[in-house]
Amino acid sequence: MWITAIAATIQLIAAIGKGRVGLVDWTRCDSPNVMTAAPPLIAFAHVGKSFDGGRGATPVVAVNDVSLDVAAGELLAIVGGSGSGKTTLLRLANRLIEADSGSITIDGEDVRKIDPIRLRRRIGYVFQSGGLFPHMSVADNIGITPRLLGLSAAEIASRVDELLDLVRLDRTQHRDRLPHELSGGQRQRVGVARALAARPRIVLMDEPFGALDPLTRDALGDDFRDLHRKLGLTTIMITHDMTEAILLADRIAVMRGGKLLAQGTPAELSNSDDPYVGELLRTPRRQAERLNVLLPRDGAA
Amino acid sequence: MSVFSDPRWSEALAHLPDYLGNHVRVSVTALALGLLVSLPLAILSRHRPIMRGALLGLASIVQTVPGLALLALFYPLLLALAALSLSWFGFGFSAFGFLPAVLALALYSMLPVLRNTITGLQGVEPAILEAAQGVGMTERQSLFMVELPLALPVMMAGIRTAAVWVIGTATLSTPIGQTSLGNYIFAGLQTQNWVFVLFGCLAAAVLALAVDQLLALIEIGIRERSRLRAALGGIGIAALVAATLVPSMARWQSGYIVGAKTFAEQYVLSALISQRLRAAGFSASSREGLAPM
Repeated sequence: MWITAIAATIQLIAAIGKGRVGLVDWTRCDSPNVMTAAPPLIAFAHVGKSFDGGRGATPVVAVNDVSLDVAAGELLAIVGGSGSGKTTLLRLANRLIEADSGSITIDGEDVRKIDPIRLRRRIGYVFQSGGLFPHMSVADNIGITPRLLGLSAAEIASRVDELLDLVRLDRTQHRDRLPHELSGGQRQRVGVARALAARPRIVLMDEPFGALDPLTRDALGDDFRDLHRKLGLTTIMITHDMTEAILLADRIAVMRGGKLLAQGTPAELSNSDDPYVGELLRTPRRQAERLNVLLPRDGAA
Repeated sequence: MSVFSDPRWSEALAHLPDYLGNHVRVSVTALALGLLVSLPLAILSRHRPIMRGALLGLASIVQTVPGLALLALFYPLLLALAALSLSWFGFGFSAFGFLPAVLALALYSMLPVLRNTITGLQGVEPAILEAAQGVGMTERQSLFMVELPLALPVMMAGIRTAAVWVIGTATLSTPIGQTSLGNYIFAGLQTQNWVFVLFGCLAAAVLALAVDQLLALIEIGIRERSRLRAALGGIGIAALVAATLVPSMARWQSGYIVGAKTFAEQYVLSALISQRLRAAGFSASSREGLAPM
């Protein structure tokens, strides 16, 4: 890309030495994890985080004493409204935000002891509405983390093709396109491919399917669920949509006002006596019932 | 006699390689120096609001100083510096001509470059910056791989403005001893040679327009991600610089240079002496406007 060439020239002009990071840190996972009573892969223990509310304002408590375990191979959905602290909790896991109190461990290792740059290269992150770099082609976007890890161009190219197949995008048709030439669903597929590029064991997803139309959203959700199983990933997915969480996740954690209200499988949650959790679960059911009444049944189904 | 058969046109044209060459050289050097200082400063100040405010404030103050005054100010300043350097380090430098012109013009070019680089970097969406962090970029990688490429179109627009300002203001470097297209204008004013004045104005305007359009080509190339356009613009600028450098290199072999101060009798004298030298078989050229105001 000539744009990177220009960037490199500016780099030279500014006479700033370039510190290339050449570490290759594949955390491969060739066989899917078998769910056992193994220690949790990701563990939040009494985690707290508050933000400075600006001049004179009282600090806003975003995450309040949250303890949550995610087992290897699990797909956990964190459900909550805006301001519930769910996104903050997710960002604490790869140190996009630093926790004030408590500890977060990944595979038994405290994240504060891991260099944040290395940590983030080991963990896939899917951003809301893609977060793709608008000046880079689809291939460059997908290959960014392997490139940062110092892989050769040939290795990156073959990995990119592999990933395009994996997220079911046509190689020749999409590889050289720019993000703005893609549909919302395609962009999000690229976002997922980018998160998986460095073969992470853990994927964090921040409302990944929130901005998509229902059909695309459904297809992508199913596709990701398959990928999660096939690659043996451990995934934390943020969503405000309880229906989506029930359909995709193994377990659901409900957050409100920075606190973890309840966690468990959908069936376990339905036994919760928390009124907010009850309301969250009733809504999709009520909608389903109303839909059944309003939509005439299709005889073939 | 029609306007264009006036012999003063061809006389003006004869001076063009010298004046234009010097003009381009002083402008390009000043712009390069300005960029070399402004770009790193703007990048450094992107997370430092106080530094950013101070830089923009200073650059704005510089901009309010009239161009001629700014150029004139550098002459005594450098004179004092040259004297200091001579007594301390045993060598001096010319406080006259190229150096003060370059320094003043570089200072003049800073505001649009600083402002646009800062604006461009601040215009990068926070979501994109977060994505850069999230995929595992260091701060420097984020700057060079994401922020600067995304800010580049806005930065180029600033560089374009700076280039036009510098080329225009460089005509005022004649009174401090730097040959430029301003020589036509100042000499024309003093000898009431309106053809010269007009020629100088036109040449400076055409040069500014040409450079502006070439830089615009690069800017559009960057914005539309069209490699061809950016390359064409780059080649155009390089060709312009090369074209003005080559004849002036050749001219270094000229035997005598006759200097003249900026008033009518001096012009007449220097022209007479040059003619006599040439008639006697020597190569000679005249250099007018040697002394300041």
